[in-house]
Amino acid sequence: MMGFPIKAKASLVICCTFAVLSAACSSQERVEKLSSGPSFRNKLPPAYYTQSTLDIPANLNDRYFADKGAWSQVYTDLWAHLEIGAAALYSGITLPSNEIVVAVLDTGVDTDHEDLVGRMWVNPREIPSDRYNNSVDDDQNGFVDDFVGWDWVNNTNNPSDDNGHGTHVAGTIAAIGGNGKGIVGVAPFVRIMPLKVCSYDGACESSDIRDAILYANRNGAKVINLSLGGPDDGPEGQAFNSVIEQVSKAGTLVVTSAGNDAMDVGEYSPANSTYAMPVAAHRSDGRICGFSNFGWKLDVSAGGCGEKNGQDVGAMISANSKKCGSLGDQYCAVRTAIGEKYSLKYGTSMSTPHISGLAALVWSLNPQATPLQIRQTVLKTAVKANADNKNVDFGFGKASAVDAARIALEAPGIKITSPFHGAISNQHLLKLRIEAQSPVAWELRAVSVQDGDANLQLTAGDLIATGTVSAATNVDLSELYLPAQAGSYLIVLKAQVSGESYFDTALVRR
Amino acid sequence: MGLRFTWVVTTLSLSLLSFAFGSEGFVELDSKFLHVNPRVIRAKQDRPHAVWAKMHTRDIKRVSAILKQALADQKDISVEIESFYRETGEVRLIIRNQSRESKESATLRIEEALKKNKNISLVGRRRIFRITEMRNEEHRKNSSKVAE
Repeated sequence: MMGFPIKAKASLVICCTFAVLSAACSSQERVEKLSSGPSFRNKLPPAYYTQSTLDIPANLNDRYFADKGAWSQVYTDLWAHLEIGAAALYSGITLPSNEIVVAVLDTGVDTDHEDLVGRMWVNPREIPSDRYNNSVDDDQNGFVDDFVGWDWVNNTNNPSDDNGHGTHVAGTIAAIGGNGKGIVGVAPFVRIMPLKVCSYDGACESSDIRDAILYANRNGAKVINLSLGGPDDGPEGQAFNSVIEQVSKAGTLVVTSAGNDAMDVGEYSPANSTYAMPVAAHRSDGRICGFSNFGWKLDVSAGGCGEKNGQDVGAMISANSKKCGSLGDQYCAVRTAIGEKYSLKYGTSMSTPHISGLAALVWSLNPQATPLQIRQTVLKTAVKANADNKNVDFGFGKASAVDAARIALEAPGIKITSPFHGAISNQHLLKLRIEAQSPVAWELRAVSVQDGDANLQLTAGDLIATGTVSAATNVDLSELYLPAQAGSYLIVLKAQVSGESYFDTALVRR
Repeated sequence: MGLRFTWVVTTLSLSLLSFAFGSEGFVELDSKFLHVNPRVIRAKQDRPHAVWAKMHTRDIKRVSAILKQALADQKDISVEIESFYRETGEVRLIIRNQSRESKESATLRIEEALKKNKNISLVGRRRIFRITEMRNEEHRKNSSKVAE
């Protein structure tokens, strides 16, 4: 599990015999000791460990996979997963042991759930006892006995789920495939790092979320799933922008829900953070869910609600927490048609983990990629909503796993890092970030956006600048020459590699 | 106000379409147009804002009475109690602005009114995000607003 070494060095055995380690041990020895040998495993509850490789059968026999009508609906039970096409990539193979860790910042996770058991991240630097703690902060990270994550709401090391939302999200990402039970996740080979930042009623303090984002990054999470948010009121949004930029540059991709307020995602935090990846929700019939936030900041869309008589309805089935409803039925309604172990929900909370899972899947194919490159790969391969490149409801389109996997190795990373959104002058300093492994030709355009525009061709508009780079490069342009006419413009950065085009955009006003 | 504004936009839109197609022509409403505009209107008109306050009571029955008294003079603004924590006396208020006033201005107005009440201390604008799961109640609420 988690790459634990088979052998512990003799010196370690001598110097590190006791659970509370002597000061004579070097930090490296302490880490190796803490994470090695059967004594460590025996002290972990069985739910937390499993084999290092994962065999997923070719014919997935999970109850709701490829079946339909579980709640009398006409479409497939796991329709959003099948739409992405992830199962076609991984079924029937033995996956590599370089497991990607996905942090789920949410209401907690039911780590004992039949479809998640054994798939939790374990902190190898923390010593648990038979009672799950030894009351020592072994890794000195400020969190005592955080061996399976942390609960910021109750300030404990047990991030269990008293709502059901976090377990639902985790199931969409990583539910076990081929176990004959329930569902299968978009990336069933990843590890879930459960970080509880939201209370039983679904409220999440922004300071806790920021702390947990930093925790996830420092503890090795490659992807952070944020199925939460709220309208941006200024300083808070800037604080999120800063934290997300920090972890993004340190190797972690933050995937956020676009929000359910039918408002401009550019005014919704943390989805509007420059380095975040906001995800819209569309229905089982392919149309956008009516509640899904919209706007030019959107990156991509995934399934997030069903359709019945023209209305958005709950149609996303995933794992349910055994504590669901324990603190009030209004926070967790169990649908008897599918029992208590699984539940139906809807919202951009449900579309977001599909993209987190897809990002983890792509990353497992290209472990050396940066967060920016993973993001670009997912955007580049999304199925466009129409002939235009970008759409106000779907962003770059509906995510697709097969194409993302195909180009995972060669995608460059491109990003307009400044300006982001809002009013700017012609003298605004323009900053780009381009990560390339081969020569990349880039160009920058300003496309006029009229009120009510739903779709845009990103290759139209006035050309601002061009260039070529062949390695990771920051490009600073001293002035941004927008067209003279006042109005809203979409700044479009386009890069071309091997005949393929990649885009990033920022909406500005002058 | 929201209803009137929506009505004006819709009427104007239909007038423009009628003009474009002629009074006897076939008028086909663009579903994209109808889809986008209510969302834009809603985003501009009905964005709630939140304020945290601490009530000097832990009696939930008194909370509403104190708030009603404190905000009796405020026009065009409705305040809902989203959550009340009995242990700490903290209350999160959701402010809905039904006027053309900006949300910042409306929030300041509410904060000033709350400050004047001796039973209330402002905690500030501690931001609470929410999980982005739709619930039936929320959906009904949103749908009715969009359809107004």
